[in-house]
Amino acid sequence: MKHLTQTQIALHAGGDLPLFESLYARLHLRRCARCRQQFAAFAALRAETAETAQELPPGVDWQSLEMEMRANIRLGLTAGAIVDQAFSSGPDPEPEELETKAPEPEPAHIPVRRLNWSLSSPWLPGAAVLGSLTVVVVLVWLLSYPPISHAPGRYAQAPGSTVMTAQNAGLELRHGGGALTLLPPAAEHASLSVDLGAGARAEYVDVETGQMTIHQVFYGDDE
Amino acid sequence: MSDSPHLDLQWQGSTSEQARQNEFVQTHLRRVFLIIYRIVGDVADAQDLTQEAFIKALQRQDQLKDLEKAAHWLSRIATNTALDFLRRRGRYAATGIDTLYDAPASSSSEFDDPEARVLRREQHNRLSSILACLTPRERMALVLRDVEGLPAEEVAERMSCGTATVRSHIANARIKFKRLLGRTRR
Repeated sequence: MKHLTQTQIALHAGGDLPLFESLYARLHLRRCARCRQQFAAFAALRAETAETAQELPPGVDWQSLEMEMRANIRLGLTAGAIVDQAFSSGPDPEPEELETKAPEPEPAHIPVRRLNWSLSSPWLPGAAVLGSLTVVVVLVWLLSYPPISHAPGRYAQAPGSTVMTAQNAGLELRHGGGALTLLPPAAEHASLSVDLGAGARAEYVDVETGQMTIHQVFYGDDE
Repeated sequence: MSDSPHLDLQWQGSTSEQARQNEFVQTHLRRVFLIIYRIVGDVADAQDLTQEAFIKALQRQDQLKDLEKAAHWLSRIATNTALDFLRRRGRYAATGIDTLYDAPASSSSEFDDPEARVLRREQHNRLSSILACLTPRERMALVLRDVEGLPAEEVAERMSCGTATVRSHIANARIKFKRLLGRTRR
């Protein structure tokens, strides 16, 4: 009696033989104990592989790995969106132009986003409308919430609480006598913003390399 | 959950959209990480590639219209990302396997039965060692067919080759696997 080849048995164990070969293999296995034993070994191996492969590698702390990956994915999406925004806002400006628009030493206003639009930009009407709306929103906000510090780039929740400051020197958190400062990298261009819903954020773009650094400080009550 | 069967995960900074994206990531993260890990064989590489796969997926989410197809679509991106990585590098990294022997126990497994933990670790190490001995295409075919449970035709499509070639890879991988497993158990 001619036995099945190892290849045939290996494929049959996973249901991967073509129809006629599969029928032949099935008939053969009924009559041949040796091939049947081989078949059972391949089938068991396949099941064990599938089961073991579903488990995490030993030594992996999934919780911390998951947190790290989720944060990196969020960061990657944010960076991608910023790059898209930069490309869709028109041609790259000349380096001199950027240098003149490099961050000034004074703190930035709330919210501040530096956008390099020229007078001929097709986005100008939209920018004008957006700018007007921003002014109105900021005015309403200032009038509605007098306890909030009026210092540019600064948001204080209540006296004695944590104060978050976004300025060109970096993002700073002050609480009591202590302060934590995220210093900016040596970047030519920076965009700073303070979002009352999400926290403070600084984006730095190195004009020469295109490398982008994002600092984001979130705050909020734990639910 | 949304009433609509469509995913709407556009990144525009909206909190609800970000929440949906986070849910999407949380639902599929472990599965995608494991697929990639089994293909590339190294935890650090798998971490990078998993992140890359999710970023690619969420940036191209306008192509994703059906929630039920999301998992399938994401697996495709994950395997393509892993395959590209192997093509770029040209070989399989077995370095992660050695580090796994010395890796400290995770906090979640501290309360497990020590014998069961040792046995699991041995199984993992054996699986990783054997996978490392396969060629990248054999490993890919085996993982997609026997771990992911994809039909051979779809494995062929993902690997951009014919079904007969995939069957050959699968058979070779299973035969090598059986032989090597026999050796490690002796």
